[in-house]
Amino acid sequence: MNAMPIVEASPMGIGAAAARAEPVESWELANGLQAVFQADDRVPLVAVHAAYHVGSRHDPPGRSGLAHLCEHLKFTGGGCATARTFPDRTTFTETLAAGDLRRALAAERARMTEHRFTEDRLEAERRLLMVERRQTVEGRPFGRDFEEIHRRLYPPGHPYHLAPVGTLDGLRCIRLGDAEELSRDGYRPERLVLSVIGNLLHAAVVEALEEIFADLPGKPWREPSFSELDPSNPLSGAPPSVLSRVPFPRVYVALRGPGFGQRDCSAASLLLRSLAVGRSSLLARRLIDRLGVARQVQAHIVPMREASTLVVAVDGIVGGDSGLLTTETLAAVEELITVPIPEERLANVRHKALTDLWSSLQRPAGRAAHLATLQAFLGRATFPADVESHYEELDTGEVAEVALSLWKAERRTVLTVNPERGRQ
Amino acid sequence: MSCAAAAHRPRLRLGGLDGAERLCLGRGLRVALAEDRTVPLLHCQWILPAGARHDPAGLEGLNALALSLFTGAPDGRAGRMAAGFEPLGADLLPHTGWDHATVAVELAARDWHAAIDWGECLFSQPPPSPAAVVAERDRRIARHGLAARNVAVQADRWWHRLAYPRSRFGHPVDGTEDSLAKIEHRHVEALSEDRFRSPLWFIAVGCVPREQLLSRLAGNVLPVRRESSARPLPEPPAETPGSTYQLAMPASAQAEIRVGQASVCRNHAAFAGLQLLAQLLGARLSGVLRDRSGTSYRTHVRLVPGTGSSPLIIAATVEASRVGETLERIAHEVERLREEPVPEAELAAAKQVSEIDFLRSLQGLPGLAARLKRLAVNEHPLDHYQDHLEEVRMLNASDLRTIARQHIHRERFFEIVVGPPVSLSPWRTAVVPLEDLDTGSQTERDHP
Repeated sequence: MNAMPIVEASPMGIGAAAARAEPVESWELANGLQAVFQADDRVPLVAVHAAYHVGSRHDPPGRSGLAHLCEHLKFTGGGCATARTFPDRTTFTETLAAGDLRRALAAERARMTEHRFTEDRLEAERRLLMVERRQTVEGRPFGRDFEEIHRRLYPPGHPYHLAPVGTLDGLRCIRLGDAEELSRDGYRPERLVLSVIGNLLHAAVVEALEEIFADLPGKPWREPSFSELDPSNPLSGAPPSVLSRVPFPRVYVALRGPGFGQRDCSAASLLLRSLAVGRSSLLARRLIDRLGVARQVQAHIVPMREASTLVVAVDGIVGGDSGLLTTETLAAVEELITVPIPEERLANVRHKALTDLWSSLQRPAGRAAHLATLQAFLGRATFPADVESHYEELDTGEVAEVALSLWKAERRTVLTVNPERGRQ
Repeated sequence: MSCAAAAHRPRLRLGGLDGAERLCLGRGLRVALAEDRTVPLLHCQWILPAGARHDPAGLEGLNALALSLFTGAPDGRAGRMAAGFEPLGADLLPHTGWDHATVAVELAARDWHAAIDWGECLFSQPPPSPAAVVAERDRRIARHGLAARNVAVQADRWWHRLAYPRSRFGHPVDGTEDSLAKIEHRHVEALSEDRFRSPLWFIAVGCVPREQLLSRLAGNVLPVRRESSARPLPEPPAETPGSTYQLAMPASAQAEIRVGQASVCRNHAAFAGLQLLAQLLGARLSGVLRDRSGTSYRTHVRLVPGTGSSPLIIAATVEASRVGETLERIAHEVERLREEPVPEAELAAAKQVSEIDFLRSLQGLPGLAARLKRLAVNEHPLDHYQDHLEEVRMLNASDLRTIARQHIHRERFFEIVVGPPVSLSPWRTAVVPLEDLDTGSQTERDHP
């Protein structure tokens, strides 16, 4: 090799291609608050991720959007802070200078101790949520489909029936007392997992958490469980196709899968990738390459505590035949169920699943969220995660069994979205 | 702006950038490497002299189309090879910017050699076939047709066309339906010989197997292009007095607002100050339009670094009935930047957010590679960002007001409203419907 430095040479040098992750520490305070820490000294920052067991599953009947509204009321902002509401949990993430950890923890304490809001604030946030809904759901092509899929997969009364964003009617009905009650009951130490990743020492984080949170009273709490896979929990019998203001037809196949982090969920993820991720997927080869009736295929998993929603979306060509698109999509799904994935193909999708997982864990904020979710749902935060070993261990036989049990017709829903006439 | 205090301030740790190195291999290929071993991935970028600024007049979108064909055409060697990336779980991301084209590959570190071998194939393959050119051109034209229905895309595109009326910067990187329709196989063939044979830089970050990687690159026989980025800056765009333009899209649920002006280039002395001002303005508008009034769920202010001019753009999505008051509020907050000194606490918070944003960008491999690339193509020293961060730290309220008065002028703003038809009276008296605007008679000139 003939290499010569032209500008500056590294003072550190660069060695072999092995990753070097710090260990993950997890512990529980006497009041039930669960904490996770991992050192990351690349830059002088810390990512703090708080996950409360408060989600849209806790919205009372007729008050859809209450957990989301409460998230808005609790969010204190800041340049590098975000908050999100999911079906099972509400999260607050902030990245800040490592030296400011205690400031972030003090803000977290305030979230658990301040439960009074004003009518003015409630009205401003209610208005903003309605604007958010119009912008991200109603005003966007295909924006309402996620809600529609959840309504079909999870019947009325089910905790996952309505989406976290809330309905306009539900948002209108929420009163100040509803928000204050959810704040008092939900934002408590025993319902919090706090994940901290950054340029700090473990001992310093333990000390700060004890000092700031230990005096908050906790009480025993456990999320009530429900049997998601109960076959008596039927899919709703909604019509298979809808009209919408979209430029091309789209077909969704969605099903109820195993909960986040479970081994069967990892198998379902491999199956989904084989079906719909990449140009060599079953759907891309059949619908794009061979038949030319589709322009794009996508797959998503919406991870939840007791079930994951698995979704495949197939975009047709502009002016294309949505009936043919639906028929051929379902034919590819049948192939997935009846023909076991060959070993070589399984190795390929496994490889992609692993690189995607690593990619999502590069940044401390993403890793903090991942570890907090593992701790909240499974009671153990590991890095690299259990999911990684699932991917490496699953063989073709086990994946084929999951395909047969998960993808059968009574567990899935099909939704075809057609362009309204004259709006294509 | 004294730098006396800077000499005693400890330098920040900048992750992978601290250990970065740049090399020139024997045959001239320039390489930049940075290590980050958080996850077992390697992120590589090949940098090509094929930015949209090199599009011939009337053929806007040519470089972007050619890059797409070169990296992924199914009948091309690189395209067939790229299909082999999928089993590796690798992502191939071609991107055309204004100055350069970048092809990024992110893959498991153990498969590092595939990125190098693919690069060699990419730069030595024959031009794409005429059929592939037609297919890709038609695919891109169809994509434009879909984008025409997207309110946000239309708002961005019209703003650029109006703010840079005599420049190709006013056209999107991926061209227009008209310009794409004129592209023929011979154009792609000529471009491929000119710009797709020689990479300017190779960047690798992550779990880098340094010795093996350099050895494999050294065995590679690609010709290497030396193109200095120290070229004279083109003339800035004309400072046209601003107007309010309106494009009616009756089916849209919300209105998209874009307000802003063509501003200074990224190497200008005032650029860092303007970036901080953009951040302050974004935080203030978010506070007013989102948190206090619940008018807009999304509001942001961007100063996009450019070699000749940087667009300063304020973007908001609002209900049609609140467009007028939002325009007024934006105008008010812009005027405050020019007239009132920023309070110390607000300034300190903005500086901290700016620094944290920068440091966060170094925590992911694509962000780290992007920083290393910017240092490389602009021929900045490896400690350039330490100086930049220090420059931002030293800015005070007086500096910012001076910069705002010199470089932010409401009378040079272009205001665009795209969405449901709405009357802007009494907020705006001169409103130009975009449907009536003749945009076919623009004369072309170089990138600003």
